[in-house]
Amino acid sequence: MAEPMEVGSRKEKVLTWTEKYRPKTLDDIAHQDEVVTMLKGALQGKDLPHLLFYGPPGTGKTSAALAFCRQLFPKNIFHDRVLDLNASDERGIAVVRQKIRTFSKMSLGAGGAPENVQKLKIIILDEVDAMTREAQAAMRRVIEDYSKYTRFILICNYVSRLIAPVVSRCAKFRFKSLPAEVQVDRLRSICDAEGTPMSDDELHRVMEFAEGDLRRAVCTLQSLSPILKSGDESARACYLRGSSDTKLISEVCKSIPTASTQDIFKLTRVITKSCTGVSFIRHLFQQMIDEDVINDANIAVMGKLVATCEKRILDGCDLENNLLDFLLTLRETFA
Amino acid sequence: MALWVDKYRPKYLVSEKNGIDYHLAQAQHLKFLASDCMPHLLFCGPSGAGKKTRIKCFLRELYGTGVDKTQLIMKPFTTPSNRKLEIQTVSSNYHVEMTPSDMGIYDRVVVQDIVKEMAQMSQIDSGSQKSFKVVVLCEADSLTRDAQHGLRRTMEKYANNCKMILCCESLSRIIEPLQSRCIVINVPAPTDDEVTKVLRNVIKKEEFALPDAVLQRIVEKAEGNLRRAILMAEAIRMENEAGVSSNAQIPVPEWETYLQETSRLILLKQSSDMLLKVRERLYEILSRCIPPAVIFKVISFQINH
Repeated sequence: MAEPMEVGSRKEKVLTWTEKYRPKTLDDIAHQDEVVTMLKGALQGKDLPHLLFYGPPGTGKTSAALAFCRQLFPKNIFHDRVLDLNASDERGIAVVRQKIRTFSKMSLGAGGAPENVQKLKIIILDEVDAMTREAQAAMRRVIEDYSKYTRFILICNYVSRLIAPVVSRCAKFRFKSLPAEVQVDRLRSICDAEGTPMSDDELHRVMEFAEGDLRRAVCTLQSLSPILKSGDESARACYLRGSSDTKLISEVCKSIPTASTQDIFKLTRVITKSCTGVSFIRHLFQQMIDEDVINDANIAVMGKLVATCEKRILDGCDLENNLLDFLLTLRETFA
Repeated sequence: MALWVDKYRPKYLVSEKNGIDYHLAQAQHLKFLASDCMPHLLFCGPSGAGKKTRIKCFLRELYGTGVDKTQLIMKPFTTPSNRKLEIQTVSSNYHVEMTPSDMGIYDRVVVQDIVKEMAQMSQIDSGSQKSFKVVVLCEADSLTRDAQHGLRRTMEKYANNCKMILCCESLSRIIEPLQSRCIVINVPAPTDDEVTKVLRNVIKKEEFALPDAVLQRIVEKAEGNLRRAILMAEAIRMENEAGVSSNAQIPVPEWETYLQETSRLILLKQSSDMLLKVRERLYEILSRCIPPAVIFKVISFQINH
């Protein structure tokens, strides 16, 4: 399949930065040292276990898997050796039984176990946590039966959504959220390459906004780039000022313990109209910890409150009703 | 004759005439984004805040007036269980707009087949126009998780052929991996002042004398939903051909009056008789397809006021 980053220079200008600056070799992967050391070892070595990469979005899981395969196999045999399936492909039980099984079955060259890693085939299953349990169950035998010539790299966000038998067949690697310095470094190098220099302070803003997700940070950076290039200082200041709801959050933080029910109704309206639910609750929580409104005495109750509310919203309940409940309970906790 | 909402829909992101009326800084930002390296976008905000209007303006900025020449195309597809279904798409030469969540649980198939197929096709003549097309997915927050997962790699792999614009009401129902692939454009509801300003403009152009008191009442009732405000103004104009007196009432939907009465009953007396009566009323209103979330909202508001 054609990977976007291999497209010729004619189309280069429309590449999104997330693709343009996707790590191409294992050395480019930021921060995930254990995984990179292991994969590099495997490049030289004789054998490779089945792998399971998991971790939050934008930490380099897919990039690591693709970079590894690209370094392992020369371009001309890449398509014969690597099968990359993701959630945009049909991946029901039928596909596991046919496509994956057929691909794993094919042996390369003469029989017998291959003598080094270059003779293996690799199946990358991206977003495994989106596969049905039945399909995962059907994979169990496939993973074992053909392990002579085929290795699996499974990638997912939540390892808890995989069935235990699949997990136990793989070596697990957790991808950590990227710490601030690593992200700022990476963002700065992109900025320099694109000719849109930014100050450290501004980079920190972008990064804070992305919450440890490098892809999101790069994406944000790209959306800001036309403004930076335009050289309009006031516009620049306006967009880098940080999220607009900081003011609202500190206001809520102060007024909640003494607010009347009517006030809370009004506040809920304002919040639902202007902010984005879950992020508001998270930021509010953070702010309250910073301002010491939440302390050792009430953190247990508060934590539970935030967690339940967030879960309900993520499950698709109505935002306004939940916020109302959240703010009212919050007031009660302080009373 | 077009409705006022369509007639006075802004056409350009930044312009003196027919430009967007509020969130101007954001409109400027969008104008910057409408270039060769546009990222995927995710518009979110309450209904009637102007998400669709901004998307339309954005596309016009990107491709010119060609995006207005749209046609309705039914795209057929087959589910894994061999059912043949069709989905409605609105498309121009440059963009396609659809609502995959209309297909219920089959939205995953739509994403995997139709969206992916469209993303894979590249523009033939990339010299004279942009080298990518845009797929607009409406109501993205009602897509099932499976369908959203299906979009992930498609958005990355074919990013140079095809950009996505997602449109949703609640950001929380969009999975994080998708959020991280898009620039999130938050479109908050206009403030009451902004609604008033836009309404005044509209009635001025229509040469329609609407007393200030009524205008104020409309703005209050609309609760930041500009579409509703303009529709209400037009409805009042239709009802009062001769001219509007300053104490003209704004029609309240029947279900809202019904809920008001229900909450009055709840407060009146808390007995088992009343409980049965209220339950009956609630069943009645549920059977008229008023969403439970709205019922909760209205009743909790009424009880406290």
